[in-house]
Amino acid sequence: MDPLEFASPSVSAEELALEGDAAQRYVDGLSRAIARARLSDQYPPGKRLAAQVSAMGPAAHGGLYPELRVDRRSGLPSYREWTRVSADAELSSKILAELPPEDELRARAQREAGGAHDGIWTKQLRKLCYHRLLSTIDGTPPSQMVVKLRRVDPGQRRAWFHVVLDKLDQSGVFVRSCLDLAQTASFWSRPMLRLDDDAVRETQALRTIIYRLTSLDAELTFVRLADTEGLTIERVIKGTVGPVYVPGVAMPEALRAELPGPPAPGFLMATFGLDMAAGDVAEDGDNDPVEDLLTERLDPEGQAAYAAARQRYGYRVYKDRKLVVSSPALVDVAHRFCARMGTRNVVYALRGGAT
Amino acid sequence: MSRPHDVEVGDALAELVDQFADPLVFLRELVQNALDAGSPEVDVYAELRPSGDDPDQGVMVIGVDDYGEGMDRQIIDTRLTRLFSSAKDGDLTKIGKFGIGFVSVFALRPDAVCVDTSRGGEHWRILFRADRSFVRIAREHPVDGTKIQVFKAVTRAEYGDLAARAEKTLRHWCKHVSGTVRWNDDDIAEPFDVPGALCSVRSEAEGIRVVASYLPGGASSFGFYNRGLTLLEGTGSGFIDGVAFKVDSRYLEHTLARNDIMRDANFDKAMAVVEGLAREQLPAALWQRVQQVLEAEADTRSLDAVHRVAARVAASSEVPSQIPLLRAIDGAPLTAAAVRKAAKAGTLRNAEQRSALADAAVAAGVTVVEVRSGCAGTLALLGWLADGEVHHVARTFIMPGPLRDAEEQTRWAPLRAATEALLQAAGVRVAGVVPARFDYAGSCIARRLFVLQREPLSLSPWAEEVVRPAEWKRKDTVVINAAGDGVDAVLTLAQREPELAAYALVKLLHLAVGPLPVEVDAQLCSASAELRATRLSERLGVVAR
Repeated sequence: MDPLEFASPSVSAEELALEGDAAQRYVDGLSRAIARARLSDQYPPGKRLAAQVSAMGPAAHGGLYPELRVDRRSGLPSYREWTRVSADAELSSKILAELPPEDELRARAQREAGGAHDGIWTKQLRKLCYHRLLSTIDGTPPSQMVVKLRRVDPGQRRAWFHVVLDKLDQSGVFVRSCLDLAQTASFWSRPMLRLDDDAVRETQALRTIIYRLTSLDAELTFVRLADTEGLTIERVIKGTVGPVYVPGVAMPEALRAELPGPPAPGFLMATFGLDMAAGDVAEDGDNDPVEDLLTERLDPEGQAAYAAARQRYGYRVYKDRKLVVSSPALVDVAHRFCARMGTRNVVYALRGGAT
Repeated sequence: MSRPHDVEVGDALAELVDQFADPLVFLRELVQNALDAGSPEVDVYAELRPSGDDPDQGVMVIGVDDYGEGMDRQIIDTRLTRLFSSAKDGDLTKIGKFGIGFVSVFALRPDAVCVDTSRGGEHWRILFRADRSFVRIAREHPVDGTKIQVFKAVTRAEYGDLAARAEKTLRHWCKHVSGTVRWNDDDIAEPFDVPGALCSVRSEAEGIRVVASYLPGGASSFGFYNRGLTLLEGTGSGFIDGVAFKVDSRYLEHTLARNDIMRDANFDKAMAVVEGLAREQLPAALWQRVQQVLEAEADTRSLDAVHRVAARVAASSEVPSQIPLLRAIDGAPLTAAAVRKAAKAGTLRNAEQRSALADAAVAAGVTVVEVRSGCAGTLALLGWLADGEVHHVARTFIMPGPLRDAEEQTRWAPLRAATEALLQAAGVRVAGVVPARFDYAGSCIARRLFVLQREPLSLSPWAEEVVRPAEWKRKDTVVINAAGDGVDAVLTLAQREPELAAYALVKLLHLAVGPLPVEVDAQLCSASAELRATRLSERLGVVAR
């Protein structure tokens, strides 16, 4: 059987509910796809996400949770699943300290084996194994912001920062927003970042602005921030994990057209987008087969406004996306899909190299 | 595909390339570039591609693949192929500073170097020839990040050597990188620890992580890293004597020649963190470690190793009074306070292990610390806590043992009785004469012929006084070493001539500790003769009757 074959999922309006083997095959496929994508620092942290996804499967929690909810829009685990893993990971050390030793639990579980249902000690043993696994992974919550100082020019009262915000977006995809910006201290403007020796702290004002802008694309974020007094924006890069196409998740018509029929059980195509608005982008371009540039969706008047903004702030925009498919046989499908959309993209297969 | 574009790389390159003592250090430079390009994963590999019909010849390919931002034409033309044009200068989030990393690939004298890269919709292949000129060719297909391949014609043997050195070099420089660096698909990551440490303490804050440790023997070592990339490693007390440490800070920089670390304000700041950790937290960790080793009843060598360092550390930091640091011979833990109290009372001794003498000393209120043979560390710590030398219990107490068996007792009976009679006849008042064994473990009297004891065969303090040749007291018992030199001959003689043997024995005892005055000798001799005559006449009288 194909390891990525899913059982027929139960379907609701916004979420799929996967159980048992189907849930396990899903998390195996998705965690491997995230790891295979070789995500750079501009994307959400691949290693961490892959580990957290792995912890969502029944093999990890031993059936402590009856089902795995998947967001139908993004093909990623729902917000509830991410927060559950993070919360469990945070409690792991405490729970492990409270549980009896493994040998004792195993002995007790063995004594109660044979009943119609799992006994209390069997469940406790599974809990121990689950939390032991969690204690080895980075359970950082889905949302966090990190600010790093890049350089300082005391003469100009100017400091350059690198801001990274990870967030599970309301659209269901994981987003990392990377911003390179400079702040000039001024009597007239409210500081967005505070520099105390080498430690940098973002202000609540900056946090609020960036959180609010996360759902927007890189260009709109660039323009909105560039309008903020005292800030100079150099780069805005948004890396996304998702959408991921699996049976039961809506997929682009062009991709569906390349498949011989409905996605077969075990089909998985994970996509990883990169959206840049920066002064060092050589030319405007769109190499994303899944999502258009913002300006491509605007009317002529809106497009003209953004053209003027690009002129004014000296940035250009570029969108790209790489894909991971569940088998080498799907690589051609992915390339044909990209060709249909007028793009050429890096495609990795779970068994095989990039093409 | 665009028209190939020839460019000459400047002459400065040759000098710059030759600065690298190890030509394979280019691997560090390329990994550094990959990290700065935002690639948390770097794949490094080596392979031999056969060439022609000669199975011993081939082309070695060393590849470095990253998945970072990649390069567009502008970056290629203005930074990759230009010296000292780094865009990273002054950027604290980057490791590289000087813009010379990539050219280090030429230190290997490669036949060709191929760089494939994509960025912002541009896809490029840059082919460098052996003379370092290059062509830039537009690629049709995108590349994920940057892939660099270095080609060099080698023999199979040379390949084996170069590949092994490449792996070693990579592991040396990149083992602590804060990402994943793979060599031929194997993750080379090593934990950010000091290997072989007795104990360690850590500190982690924004942009800096530190581990400080004590090593066995008090050895010193140091390691400086930027985002895990090795900047400088070494051994010896160049920084903090007796401490081994590693500090990883994004503010640290190597020098242009890569053979040292910049001693700037950031370096001082990092060292202040290390020194604070070593001064304020590391000693406490050591004392806890000593306690753990004691409680775990670890082997002697392990305990001595931590004691050796503890003795050094005790000289410069406060020793906790209530943590067990040593072990008594009966296994009981001993705190510094207990050791100091015994030392002050003059009742502190050491011993390798339990013995009748050591047990008797403990029963008499002496604190006997276990110091196994060869454990100089434990002895040093004990000496430090006691504020002076602590003597072995068997060097400061004596406890002759009984004769081996009843047969030996019987054999000794005539000589013992004759000697007591002789001493009495000579006017020497003592409590008695007792033969004994002096050859117990650690004995300081094994070669002595006798000792004077108030309680024979019991524990008593050792002093020269107990083997004095004269002024024996009424309460003294003369305890004779049954295995002493010449004693056995006397014992044999005693079976036939006990009075003569007694005289010989007493004379032997005296001569062992000093000259025997002529008048004393004469007195003993006369007494012996008289006793003998008495015995013989008594025997004749019995016969006559």
